[in-house]
Amino acid sequence: MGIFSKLQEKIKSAIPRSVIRDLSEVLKPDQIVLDQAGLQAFETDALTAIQVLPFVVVMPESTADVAAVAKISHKYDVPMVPRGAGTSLAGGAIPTSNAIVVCLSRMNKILDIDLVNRSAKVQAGVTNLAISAAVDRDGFFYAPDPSSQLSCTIAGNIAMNSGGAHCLKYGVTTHNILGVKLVTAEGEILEFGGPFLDPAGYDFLSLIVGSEGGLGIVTEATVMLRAKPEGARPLLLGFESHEQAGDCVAAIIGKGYLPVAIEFMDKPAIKACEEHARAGYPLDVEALLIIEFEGATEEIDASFQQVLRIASQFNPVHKRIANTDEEAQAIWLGRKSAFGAIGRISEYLCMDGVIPLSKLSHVLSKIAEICSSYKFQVSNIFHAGDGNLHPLILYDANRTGEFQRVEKCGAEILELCVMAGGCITGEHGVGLEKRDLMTLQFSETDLINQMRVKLLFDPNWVLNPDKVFPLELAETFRRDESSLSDGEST
Amino acid sequence: MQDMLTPLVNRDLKDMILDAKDKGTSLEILGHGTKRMIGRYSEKNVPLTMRRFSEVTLYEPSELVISARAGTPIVEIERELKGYGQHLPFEHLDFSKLFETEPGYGTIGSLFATNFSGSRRLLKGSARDHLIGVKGINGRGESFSSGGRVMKNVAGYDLAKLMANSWGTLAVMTEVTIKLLPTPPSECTLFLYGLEEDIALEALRTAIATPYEVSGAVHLNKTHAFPCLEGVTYVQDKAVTAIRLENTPKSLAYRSEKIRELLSAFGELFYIDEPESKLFWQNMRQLAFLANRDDAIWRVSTSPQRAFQSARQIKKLVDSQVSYDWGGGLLWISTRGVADMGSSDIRRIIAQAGGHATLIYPGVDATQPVSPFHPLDPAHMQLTKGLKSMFDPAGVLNPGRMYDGV
Repeated sequence: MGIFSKLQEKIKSAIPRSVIRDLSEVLKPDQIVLDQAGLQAFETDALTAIQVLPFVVVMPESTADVAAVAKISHKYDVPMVPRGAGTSLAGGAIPTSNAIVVCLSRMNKILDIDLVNRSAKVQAGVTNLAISAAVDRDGFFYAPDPSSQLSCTIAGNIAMNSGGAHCLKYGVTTHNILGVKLVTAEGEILEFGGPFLDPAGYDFLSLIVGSEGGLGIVTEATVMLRAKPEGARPLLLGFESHEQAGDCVAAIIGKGYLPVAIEFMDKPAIKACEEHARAGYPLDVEALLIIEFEGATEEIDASFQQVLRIASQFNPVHKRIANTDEEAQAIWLGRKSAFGAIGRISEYLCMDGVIPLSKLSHVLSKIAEICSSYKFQVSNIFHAGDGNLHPLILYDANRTGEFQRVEKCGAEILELCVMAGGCITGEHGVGLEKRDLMTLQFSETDLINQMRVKLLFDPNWVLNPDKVFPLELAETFRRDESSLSDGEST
Repeated sequence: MQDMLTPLVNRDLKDMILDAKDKGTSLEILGHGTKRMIGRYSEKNVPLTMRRFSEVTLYEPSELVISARAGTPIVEIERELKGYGQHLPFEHLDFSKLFETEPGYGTIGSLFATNFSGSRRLLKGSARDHLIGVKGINGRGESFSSGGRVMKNVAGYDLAKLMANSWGTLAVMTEVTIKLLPTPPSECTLFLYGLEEDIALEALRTAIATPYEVSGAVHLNKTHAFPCLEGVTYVQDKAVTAIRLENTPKSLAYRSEKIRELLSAFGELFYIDEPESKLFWQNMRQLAFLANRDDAIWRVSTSPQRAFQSARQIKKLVDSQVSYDWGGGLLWISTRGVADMGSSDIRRIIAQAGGHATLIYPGVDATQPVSPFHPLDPAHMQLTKGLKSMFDPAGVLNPGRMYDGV
């Protein structure tokens, strides 16, 4: 049974109108969306194949607003689905039909920039790029750079533990968050961490970052700022085979060079990007690498020379060094417009598996085989430095049953990633899309240990309730836990 | 002294945990015991050492990933990495000088269980940040895993990082997987001598805010500086402010010159090349500056902006020496002559500034019991107890090590 069908089966229990009455007592009228047209704007996120109309949407403007909403949710046992900008590719912000969607986009103030502490305190609805823009002139930036960074919010980044091309050097969100303010399922306000390193006691921050809104609603974050490099430039290498490109990446890292980003594109992706962006990519190669270094001009030049020396063992048939900012932008232009470029050709499902680099060639061949068996075309775009694959499976959304088939094809690819020693998501999260695939990567006991954490923070399971964990397992777990006499936990 | 339990495989460990659970007893989880002096100790706990869980199970230099069983000696892992020009980038602390234990001991499991990161944490992150996968057994006797062997993994809740700094109270780690980094090809350090604390911290802040990737930024007072300067060319009987750079020799020449220009107003900068630079930072990592067995030792993580002010307040109230790491964000405080080791004043002042203070060693004057770990507020304590009860409901694993009832 597909995700959509399962969602349709969700009970649309009679939600007391008094929920709306109580919400209108704590929020202004323009903070509550109830009309059909307004609600439709929140029925999906970037996983547009699934749409579910929420019960009500609220637009809090402060932590106190969120806490007030949470208290109402708790009083009536109504689920809450937190939402940033709705850019989740895994359906993390898609509501259930009986949910209050808590949209944080109005909480978009940068509260404090503290360059001495190299940190900034921001409301959760601030966009990722707005943080870097606010400190750019002072020579700082916020490092995690998901592709959607122009529009995605820090709340969503924290929920999904987002990353991006430059995470090879700077890590993902969890490495760059110092503290959070959070509203619990019961409406309490908690703070973890702050403008200092390594908080005391258990590492609750590590749980909250990446919890997909299931442990609390983050309303403020203290993020780490880093000093901007003097400069950054990429070079482009084209190879006649995937193996040569993959081996080249392994050799660069193995020889002790750590670029700030290494991106990989296969032939179909190169072709689509070139047709769309006219970035000057070679069309006669099977694989392309974009390798970026940071530093002063001479430092980057020296790194390029070393990388070219290493790459020469793998016979690159195309080499292009960016010597100016314009040339650098041209090289990145194609990669950054890749998803849009493929989208011009066809609907696609963007997968997000991670593999050990040593298995690259094997995995790419197998992906081609799997997609071929379903008669789907596929383009592969890849954060090669950290093994984060993005196979884009092209399909026809207008054909009945096609989405279910492409989901199945994607699941096989993710299973392949796990079999190769990798995982089912490197940066997009689990959401609705992959909750039933969690069993590929985790044993039942692994998931039970995670669900116990959920239960500790959210005893009534009202926060983004149908995400992350396989539904049947979650239901069994909750039934078993509630039937326990608490004997073990006292 | 109770007999030490020494499991060899997961089955043994699981049986020992379940046996303790059935009998209502509890276990003290140890690696080599190098950090046994830190935290609360209970004679009731039966010691269990993970030292026989010793093996590197996977090493992929081209993927910057290594996996090892939890009892693997750190030195063994470092030896393996050295051959491939890679390292554990967080510069974990070595307490052997402070606790007068055999140098070179310590297991990889205990490194992550305690999450003590050294000077490079400023630039490269903590031990926790590099822990990408964990296998373990919780207090219920359940084997579980989290994360994996790839460095980017956002599937499910990150229980791997939760294990860092949990001091073996939630689960016994049986295997860890670590993200590595290439060892920088060379390093140098710039020294400024005799700066007042507030001026020194400003110099450090200025250096860190540059694009030159400062990987160590400390200020040691005159007393603390002396032991760290052993074997270093430029020795002066003054406080030392040190700024480390790591890169290719050509880059170091360029970057150190830039920093020298920028900081020239703070005084004369002395360029310390390898091997003296390495020696200085090794002394830092080994806490050579604190190896006075009379003093109580505090490790304080706080807001760099409030660090100087906090230190000044503390020194007014407590006979103490203060040095700074992490560009001012980490205070090492040694106190003497106070029954509570300065606990009440230090913790009150740090709580106001934001951060927390851990008592690493009580010194010789201790007469009052002091919680080694920073007390938690009621809401955090409730969650902490809740988490403990989820993973270890019977309180089998290191009960009370961190907090009473946890």
